[in-house]
Amino acid sequence: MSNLKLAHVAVIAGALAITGCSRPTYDDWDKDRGGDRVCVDRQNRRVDDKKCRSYSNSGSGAFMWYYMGYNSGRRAPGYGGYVSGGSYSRPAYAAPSSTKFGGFGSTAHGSSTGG
Amino acid sequence: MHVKFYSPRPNWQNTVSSLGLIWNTTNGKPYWDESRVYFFTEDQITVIEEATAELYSLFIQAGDHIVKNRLFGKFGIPEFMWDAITQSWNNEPPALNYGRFDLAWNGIGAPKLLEFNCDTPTSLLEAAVIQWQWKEEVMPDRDQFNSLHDKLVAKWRDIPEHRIHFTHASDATGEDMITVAYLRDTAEEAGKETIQVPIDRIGYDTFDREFVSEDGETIRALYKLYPWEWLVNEEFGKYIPTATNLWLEPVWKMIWSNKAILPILWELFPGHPNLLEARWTPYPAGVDCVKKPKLSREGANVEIIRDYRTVEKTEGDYGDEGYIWQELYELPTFDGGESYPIIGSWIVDSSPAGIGIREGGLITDNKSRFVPHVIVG
Repeated sequence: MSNLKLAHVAVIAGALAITGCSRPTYDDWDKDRGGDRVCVDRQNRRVDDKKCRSYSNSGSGAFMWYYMGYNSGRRAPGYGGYVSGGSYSRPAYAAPSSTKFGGFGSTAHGSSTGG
Repeated sequence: MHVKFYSPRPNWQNTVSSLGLIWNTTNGKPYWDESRVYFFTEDQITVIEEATAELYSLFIQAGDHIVKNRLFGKFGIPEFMWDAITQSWNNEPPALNYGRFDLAWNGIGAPKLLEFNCDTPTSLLEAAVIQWQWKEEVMPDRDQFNSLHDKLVAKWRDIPEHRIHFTHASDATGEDMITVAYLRDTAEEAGKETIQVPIDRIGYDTFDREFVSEDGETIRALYKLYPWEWLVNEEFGKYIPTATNLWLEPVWKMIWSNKAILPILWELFPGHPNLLEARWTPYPAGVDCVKKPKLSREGANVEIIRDYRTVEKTEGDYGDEGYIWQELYELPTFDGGESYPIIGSWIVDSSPAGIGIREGGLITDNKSRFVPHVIVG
């Protein structure tokens, strides 16, 4: 009836290891946007930003924002050029003032939400 | 379909904990109960499988009906979400789209749908991994209706996004954390890159109209183990209709997971063998029935009315959203006692994927035990 393989449970192992976990902290982000991000495909080639703005326009869906680095001096390549030296994560110091946190999670009451 | 009794494995708690089931005991009693095992014939499994596929087809048709006629008000869904649900239903963005039909059945005739848990379905690890590992160790020559793990991995491969964020709220038992960790495992087995973000650390960028993780990365695709009706009613809920991220539990699940769909199913398919009669208003006095809140989870705020009186009732925080009433199905018991099984029949996309048995009182709640099963002959 099944050809199920036992789950590798690698993430579970990690989750078990951090049970009672300490949460990472994040800085207050108060800098302006800086306009330093570009949209790239899975091969790190720059594509039109529109591909990252709407899932329905993203074709294969394999596009993501890439942060060149605020004040790094790096310049973004033209479309089709490869990016490097930056990060998929928005650098904390470049986070825009338009970003706010804590707007989800208020209904949770410490027990499982499952059904 | 029958139940037999066995001696649990020595150190069973350590065994299941090592696989992630750390909530294996509740108030000193086993939640994972391998002292009891359900046996099904192959024909009975076929009946469950066919009922599950049939119910999924009914839900598709009901969804079309609800969206086309904009019946969202009957579900208590805020009006600002109606267009987003319509768009999501019609456009069918990639989704994990899995869920668990809770079926009442005595092994004879047609299984009956009690409800569909498809927004935040749990007992996933137990069904997919724990009972399979138990079978492999205790009854390796038996089979089990269980392809859940493989089907989840295959479904992840269908989803084009590569980097996927996962979120949930912290819970005291660790059930949500481990359930999400298990789903991340299935995604990673499919080659995905997964990132954890606590639900209260999700940010929203009002300039770009997108949700971001706590380190500021744009969330392109998000799996959430957190009820939709909570999300839309929280501060960031107003941003959901215009946010550009992909919800891997799509917003249209607000209609499938809501018990208001039960009377609609009955209106569309009256007398269907896999449905129990359900209605919007109370039954006349003297009719045995079950009163259910539209949004209840884990059996909360459910009331069983029999012979003009309430014979069982659970407490909880639900009910403000309204109730539906469902015909009472006399749950079977196979041990002559007061342990009543409910069959949780899993589906991944449109494909039946296995079952998990919860055994408890007349109302299946968070104290009900998970009991493994095998197939005979």
